[in-house]
Amino acid sequence: MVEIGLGLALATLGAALAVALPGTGSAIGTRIVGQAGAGVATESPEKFGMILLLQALPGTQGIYGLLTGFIVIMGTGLLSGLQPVGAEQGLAILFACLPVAIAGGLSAPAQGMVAAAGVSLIAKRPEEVGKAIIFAAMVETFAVFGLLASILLLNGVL
Amino acid sequence: MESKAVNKYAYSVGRVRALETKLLDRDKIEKMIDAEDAEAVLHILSETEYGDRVAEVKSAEEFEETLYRYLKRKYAVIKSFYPDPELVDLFTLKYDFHNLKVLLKSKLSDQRATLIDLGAIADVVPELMKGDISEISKKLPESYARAVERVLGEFNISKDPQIIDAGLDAEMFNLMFEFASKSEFLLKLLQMHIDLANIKILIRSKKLGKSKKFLEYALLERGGLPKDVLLKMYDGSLDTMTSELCKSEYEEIIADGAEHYKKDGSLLWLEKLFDDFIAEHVKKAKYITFGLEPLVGYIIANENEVKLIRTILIGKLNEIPSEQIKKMVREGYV
Amino acid sequence: MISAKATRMELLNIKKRIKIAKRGHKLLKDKRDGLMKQFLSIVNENMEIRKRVESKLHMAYGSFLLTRATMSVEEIEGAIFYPKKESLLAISYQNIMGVNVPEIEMQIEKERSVEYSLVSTTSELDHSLELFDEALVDMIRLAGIQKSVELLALEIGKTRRRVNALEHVLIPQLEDAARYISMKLDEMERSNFCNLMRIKEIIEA
Repeated sequence: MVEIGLGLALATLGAALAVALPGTGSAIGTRIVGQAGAGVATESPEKFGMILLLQALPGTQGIYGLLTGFIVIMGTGLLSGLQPVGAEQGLAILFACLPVAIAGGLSAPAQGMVAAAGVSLIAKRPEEVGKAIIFAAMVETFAVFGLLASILLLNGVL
Repeated sequence: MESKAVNKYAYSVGRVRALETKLLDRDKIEKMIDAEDAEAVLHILSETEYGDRVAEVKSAEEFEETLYRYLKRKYAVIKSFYPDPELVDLFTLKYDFHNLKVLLKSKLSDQRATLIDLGAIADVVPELMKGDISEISKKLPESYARAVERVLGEFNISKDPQIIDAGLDAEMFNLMFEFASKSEFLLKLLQMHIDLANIKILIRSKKLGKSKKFLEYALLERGGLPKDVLLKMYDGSLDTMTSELCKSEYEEIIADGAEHYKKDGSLLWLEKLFDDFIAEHVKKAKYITFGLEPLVGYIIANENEVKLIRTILIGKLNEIPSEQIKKMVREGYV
Repeated sequence: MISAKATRMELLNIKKRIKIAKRGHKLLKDKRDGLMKQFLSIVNENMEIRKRVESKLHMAYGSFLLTRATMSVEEIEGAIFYPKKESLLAISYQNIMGVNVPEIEMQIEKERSVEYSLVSTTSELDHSLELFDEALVDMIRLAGIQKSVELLALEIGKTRRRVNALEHVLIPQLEDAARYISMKLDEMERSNFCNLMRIKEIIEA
């Protein structure tokens, strides 16, 4: 049985941040789109499908965060029996989690706003739903970069 | 601030956006202008948001009466979901003050005119029509009561009926400033309204040959063009006034309006340009995602739409040629 | 037939009456012609003003239609239902050949009073009201002239009836009577003469 040292604690903090921040961001993002979408759906319920699609977009950051969190959990054996993690390694894991935590956490509300504007767009021109999704997806890119960076970094330190 | 606005307006802006799609588009408007007669106009309207109203009436003559009812219901819907319901009151203030004018003038002249069933005090006014003049200010909300008392006080000194309308106009804009004080966008809009109203007053007074003293009373305060500058302009002829006004931000519309005025001696075109100018300014609201701007745009669009339908309908009923109707019709919001 | 005693005195009387009647007839005829002349000129003026009023009203209603197309009924009514304008109406009478005809003149205040709001009304309202003002002045004049035409026509009718009565009834009757009397007098003279002849015969026989 490995004792829980400072390293492990830091790694846990990293995993927690990676899940919590993008998750919160996604919640805010989807809420904004949901509200705007509800407004549109009040007047034209037939647009529900498209609105749901747009609402799902800011939700992906939460998934990225969760993914990163799992990688940390697996890597440190939090589920299957603890691996020894040194203090420096723990700190490195925490830092490796930051790209997805910050980029995901902040990009989700931002994406929510773009998606909500997209909802306004499809309220007027339902045929332009593709463009609305592309606009929102542009924001997604940077969350993906964050995720990528986090995974690569974790690969190195775990 | 950004996220606050988002929280507050996300739902209502979405809803307004969806409602906007139901406004009359250019295509329908043009079809209405070119329609054979009033019945054909109603036929086009029956497929729009006005469908219920069209079903209510037996003839095209009656349809105009339903327009205020249409607006009333529209405003009730907006108020039900918008986070600042008092914003709607800002735009119905003109109906409130129409009713106040009718109320005061009825009391003072023992004649009757029709009230408009719209606005914040629409429910109180009919009752006040029956009562005594001294009761008016007691039963009105405070800000309205203040306006009425001030105007009545002035009237009692001079006994000049034009004080009632001009005085209440000034009070109305004061109240509008109170309502709009929270938003830069609304203040700018209001200032533009006042400027255009002042230009209108200036030109019409000149045409009517009114004295400078009258103008001093009628011109509105707090516009972008200061009152004393406008008063100074009044000494010159209509031509010099126009060229003076062309130096302002309204250059384009003044020049265009003056050209039309020279041709047919009518200011109708200029007035249409004024309305379009404001609509154009409000159209910028299209690009603001969250805030009160989209709603302002929607309300003004509704007001203009009702005006437009009235113009077309009256025109068709009286066989005004389509060309002339087109000249009077305001630009749409969509 | 005028009943008359067949005396020389009566004949003289009737002859005098014929003379007066003929003079009256001539005078009345002159009056009728004079009235007719006045009537015709006033009728022409009447037509002219009526046409002017009609065209002015036509224009005013045309302009009002535009006002109406840009404002609702309620707005227009609310704007103008408490007017402050004061106008002066002066009525004087003029004597045309014994007929008192009215002459109505209306004066409207020089400075246009604007008791309605210049903010909530459209400019076409100014124009419509101005046109209606102009039309009103002419309409009032038209009312005066219309009344004059009516009064003159009445007077002409009366005069014409008098002229006709004199010409076709009184004068022929009087002339008949005069002829009858003079015939009767002649007859009496002849019978007198006969009587004298017979008396002379009887005396001579």
